[in-house]
Amino acid sequence: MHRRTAAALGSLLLVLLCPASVPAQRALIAPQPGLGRLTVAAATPAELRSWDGTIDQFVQRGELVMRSMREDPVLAGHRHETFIQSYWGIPVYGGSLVRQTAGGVTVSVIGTLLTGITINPTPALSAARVAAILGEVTGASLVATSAPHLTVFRLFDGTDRLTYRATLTDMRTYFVDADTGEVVWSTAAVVTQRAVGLGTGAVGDRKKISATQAAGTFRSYDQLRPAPIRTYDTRGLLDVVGRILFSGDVFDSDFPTDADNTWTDPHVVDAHVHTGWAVDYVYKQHAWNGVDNRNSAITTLVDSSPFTEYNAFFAPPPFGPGEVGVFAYGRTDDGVPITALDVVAHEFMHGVTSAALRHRTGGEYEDQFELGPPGPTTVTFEGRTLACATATLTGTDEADEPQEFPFLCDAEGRFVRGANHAGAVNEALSDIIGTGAEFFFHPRGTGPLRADYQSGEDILGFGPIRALDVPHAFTIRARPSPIPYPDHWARSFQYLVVITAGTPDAPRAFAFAPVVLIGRDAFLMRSADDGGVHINMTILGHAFYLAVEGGTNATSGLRVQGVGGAHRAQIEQAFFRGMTVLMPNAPSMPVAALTVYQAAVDLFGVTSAAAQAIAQAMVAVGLLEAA
Amino acid sequence: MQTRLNGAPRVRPRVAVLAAVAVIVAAMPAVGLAQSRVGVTVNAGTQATSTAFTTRSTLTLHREDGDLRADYGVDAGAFIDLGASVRLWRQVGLGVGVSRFQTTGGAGVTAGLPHPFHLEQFRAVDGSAAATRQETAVHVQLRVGATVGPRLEVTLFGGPTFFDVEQTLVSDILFEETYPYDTATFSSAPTVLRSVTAVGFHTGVDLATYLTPTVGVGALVRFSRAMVDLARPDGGGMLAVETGGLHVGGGLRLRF
Repeated sequence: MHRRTAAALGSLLLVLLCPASVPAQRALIAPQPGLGRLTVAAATPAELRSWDGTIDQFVQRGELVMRSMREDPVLAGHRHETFIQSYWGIPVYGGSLVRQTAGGVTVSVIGTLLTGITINPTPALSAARVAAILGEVTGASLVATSAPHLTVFRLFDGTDRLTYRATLTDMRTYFVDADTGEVVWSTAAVVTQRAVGLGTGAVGDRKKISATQAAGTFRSYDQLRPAPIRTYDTRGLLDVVGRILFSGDVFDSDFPTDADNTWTDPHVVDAHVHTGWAVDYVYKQHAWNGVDNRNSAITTLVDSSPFTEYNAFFAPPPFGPGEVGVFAYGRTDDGVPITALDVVAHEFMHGVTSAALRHRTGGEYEDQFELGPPGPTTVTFEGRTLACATATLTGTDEADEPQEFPFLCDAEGRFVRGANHAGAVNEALSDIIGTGAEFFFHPRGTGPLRADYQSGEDILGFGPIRALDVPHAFTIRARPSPIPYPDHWARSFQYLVVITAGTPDAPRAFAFAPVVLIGRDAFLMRSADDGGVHINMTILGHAFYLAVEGGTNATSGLRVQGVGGAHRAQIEQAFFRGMTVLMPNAPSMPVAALTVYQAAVDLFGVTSAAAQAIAQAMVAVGLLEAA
Repeated sequence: MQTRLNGAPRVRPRVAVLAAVAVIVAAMPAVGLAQSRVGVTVNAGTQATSTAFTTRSTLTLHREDGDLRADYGVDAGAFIDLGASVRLWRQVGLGVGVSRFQTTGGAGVTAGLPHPFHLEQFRAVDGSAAATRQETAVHVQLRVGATVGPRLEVTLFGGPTFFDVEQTLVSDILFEETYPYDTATFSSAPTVLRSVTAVGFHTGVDLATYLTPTVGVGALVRFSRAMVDLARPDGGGMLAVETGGLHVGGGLRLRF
């Protein structure tokens, strides 16, 4: 039996933190996940100088390509260089570094490099042929100008593949083997806000809406803000959804209108107004202009078709007509719009993250499929004992045909597990900014139109769907029993991996299984959530709560001295800066934690209450450890 | 009453003049009538009293009502006066005087401007506007005269006054704002001119001394008053405003 061990992965994640100007910075490291994948170097000026030289060598050899060099938007004299890993001129998925300098002296280097790549960089298939293959396999087509492009992709078994990467109209991004035409991985191309739950909300609050008068009526077109906001109504027509998303064509008739500018459709009102408030929030709190910091036009859809039922999402470019993607908001089957302020601000932050990373790195914020510690060789599920070598998962393939998928095991016959922590970081930042926007505009409290740490609580029949203050108070449906949201890194959901192509002896493609382990007990969920992006996010989100409010983490028992609600903005600013200025485009969650901490040090100083609160919070949730 | 820092009361000059005139009239002995039947007076002086009033109006902006307030001060200012009289019987006569008063003062403008994005979030702005008051008054008077000593003629008079008042009122406010529109700055305040007539009263005293049989000089003290109703600039009804005041002046006296 040929089994590659996950531990054979040759990737190196490095995080160097050394603010030369603040040598008293607290030494923090990210915990080792057990596979030797994460390395955090000691923070000394000498080591940073050494890495300066290494980066320069990589750049000279073409293994790192500088994609951007930008002045810090806040700190004078600070500069950020973003490098993308390259292999024979082909981008390496998940490989990037961000170097921060202050007055020419390196302050931090944060990022991920994948080492040991030895594949043939010449594809056997053309991009056109791969596009045709994808059409045959998925029934979907390429989005607008999205042509397949070569990418080096590392699989769960540690092998590297030369792939074509393409985004299709089924709103997924595919990685296709450039030699065989086989789909080796796919991931959601949109970031969503969705869940099913019960709660209170849906209030009839009055608010102002910025509209434009044209042709004797009013349109939901906000021209008062520097970033114009156009809110379209698909009227529940799937072809309109597709036209706007996939071809970027919009017509004046797509605008909802109102004869007297007294709008009564809460779907339009909340989506349009709350998008404007999100623009205002990031401008006032974070000095950020619009979605992309360039005040590009914003496209928002309200949709009542099944396409977005119980869902809201952000679709980055190439989706939509503009430069910054599309925000779409559906409704519950009772017709309640999924457009509460925290939800809209959440999606808005996805747009900000996407734009910030795209402009700095030349590519999208990317998911990272990080392996966790291996599981046992056997697990129990509803009273049955299942061995990795023989267990299978019944599911459907891309053609919706039933299929048995074997689980991926390591050389010792243990279940291989992993999660999409970069995706969870993305979701966490969106929840944090959604919460921040809520506190910015609403008074603190409980109930409708009150600021709290729950998400979607104002949407009747939808929320609250999760909470940052007490993550474990909410559960995810699973068999044989629900599982609480994690509040600590040790409780992060690690998904079993199934082989979707090839054989257990020669696996060629993989996917997350909707199965996680607690001890030796397996829990089957409705979906793998693209590696738990909407689940593991509560770990980082809980750290945000602790840094603001203080308190004790229920799992670690560690207490955090928060900055208090009066200084909430500092914590929000550290998280926002971490994501928009310092974050590499495929961070693990510990790397994200270090990035946020570095941002707090940059903004407020190493001895500041904000930096100390964030350090304590990250340690309390297990994302960082004291060196 | 205004007070000094040491607490001693301060008598305003115009009040002092009025008191002096009263003393003169009270001390005046009964004397014979002047023999002339027609007199002409030309005066210039100051309208010594000041008044103030306020307009408040609703300012609808961004689908919400804000408020616009203007505080006007009608300060003391110069007036000119032309009068003629005729003696009808003994010391009693009729007269008519026409006075014109104009002052350009400032109006303090304050407004609470509705926010374009949020309900009940008003932005305070303040500034000033030029506001002019012009009063033309026709004083129809019954006059009673007396001679005091060899040269001084004292005439008491009173009667109805017909006012024609023009007043500049602030009608709107212009301001500058930029995103995120949480503040606004005052640019200017457009105004409208309101004109209205009203009937009031006046009373006063005229002192004259003649240098020749027909030409002399004199002093005038006159108080007039009326309430006029100005149409509010926002169309929200009428605004009652005081007009007239205390005139203190002097000038040429002719008699024939």
